[in-house]
Amino acid sequence: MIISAFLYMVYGVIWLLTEPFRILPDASLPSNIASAITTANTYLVSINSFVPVSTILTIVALTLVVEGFILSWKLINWVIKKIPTIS
Amino acid sequence: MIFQKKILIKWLIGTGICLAIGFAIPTYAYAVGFSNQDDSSSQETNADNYGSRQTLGEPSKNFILGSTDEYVNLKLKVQVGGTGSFNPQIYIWKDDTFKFFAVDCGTIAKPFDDVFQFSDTCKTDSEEYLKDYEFQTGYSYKIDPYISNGSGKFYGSTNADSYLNGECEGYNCSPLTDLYFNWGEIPNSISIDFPANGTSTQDFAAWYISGYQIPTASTTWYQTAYDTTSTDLWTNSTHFNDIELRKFDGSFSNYPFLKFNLLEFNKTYYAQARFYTVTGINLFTGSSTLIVFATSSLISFNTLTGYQDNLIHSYYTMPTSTASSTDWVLSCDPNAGLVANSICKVLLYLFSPKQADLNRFNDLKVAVQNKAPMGYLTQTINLLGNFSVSSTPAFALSNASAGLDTYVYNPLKTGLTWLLWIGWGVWLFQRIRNLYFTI
Repeated sequence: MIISAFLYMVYGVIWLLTEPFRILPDASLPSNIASAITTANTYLVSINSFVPVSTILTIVALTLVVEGFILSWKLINWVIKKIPTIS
Repeated sequence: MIFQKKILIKWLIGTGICLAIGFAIPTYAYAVGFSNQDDSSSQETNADNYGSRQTLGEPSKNFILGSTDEYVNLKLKVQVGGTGSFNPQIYIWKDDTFKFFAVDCGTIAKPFDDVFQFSDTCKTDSEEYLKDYEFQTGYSYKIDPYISNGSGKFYGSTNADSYLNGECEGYNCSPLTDLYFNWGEIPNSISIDFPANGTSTQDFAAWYISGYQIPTASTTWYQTAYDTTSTDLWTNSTHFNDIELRKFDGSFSNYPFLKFNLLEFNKTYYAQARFYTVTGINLFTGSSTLIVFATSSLISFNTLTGYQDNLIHSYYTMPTSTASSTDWVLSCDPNAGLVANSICKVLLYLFSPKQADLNRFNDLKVAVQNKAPMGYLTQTINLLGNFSVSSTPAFALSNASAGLDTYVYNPLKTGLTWLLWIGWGVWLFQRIRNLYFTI
């Protein structure tokens, strides 16, 4: 019950924060962007015979993961820094 | 790197918070005793902890011995929880024909997490000693470990080289005698087909069990069980669907989820289905034994009431939980004693969130993810996820020949792959080395 109540409070806060977004219509990505991404894929496939496209994509994903982790870690530190007596 | 005292303290606090978040919930769940119905993954993980070994078979799966092997002084790694004791038994199938079952193999007192040795008194139902039974080359054998109550895992071996906790004290310890048992309450899981999304069906009408072919040669029964408190239905349920037990002849592919008419209104029920058969009365033990072929995942639903034509009808909500790998079902051990059980229930009431509390966040995420500006990011990520090297290329670089691929493109690609990984490794090293531990 205690955890449920806490979760419900968190849910309520998020619900309020997201309320302005939820009343908006669904976003639609401009067709030019979608076609650009698709076209980029076909160009990458064309050079896949000698360029390791899958490796590049993997490395990009790993890089994003590492940077995301570092950013999250810094955010946690920033929050901790707000605690009184900890500077 | 600059390691100042304050920075170090903050780093420790940050790490502590992460660890606390990561371990608090699993630790709490373990403390009150959780049952995760998707046991297969965790069992495999545990099994791997006991060294690599050749897996000859799991319960209800066939394996073929490569040579004539005799199981002498067979030792098994056993992990069982709870309290009390049970007598392990083994069922042997040869070329899909039930051969015999072995009893009087000893007693295991729970909890138990050690090596259990099948005793020399372990006999088949024809009173032949198990240790004297000879598994023959070329036949397909299937071994079903079985316990009458509780659940656990057996790991066995007669090869000390590949199984750290097992020993080969007998003879004929060829590599292929490395036996591996792994048992639980779901020896062969079956799936539940729920009504398609968007349908308004609330009752059992569209719930089916599928994924299991009933062997025509055996007498198989289909049973459902219900309970409002315990998720260990086959041990603790008092609501077995005894009335509608059915015998199938193997001609059906889907089986309706049997409805039990005596469920109380306005309750949350757990339910599970299984197929099983019962052996004949054994003259040696004087009892028959239930063999479970397949068990469904656990579901939960609410019972409602409704009125139609001035008559009260019971309706059932759609299943809200299938106890999948992401869904923990917390329960208290009814054998832990009145005080412990009561405290456990109070703790569960206070600290265990309902699945609906968690589902609410997912519903919110679904409601927001397609709205601007998040929707643009969502759609972009979805498009990037469709990247595939097997897509149709925009152009061809040249009329590539097999020789060009073999001697030019492939080595070039391999070299670039190595360079990319080495470069990324250097970048990662530099990134971490120069990381300043404050914002």
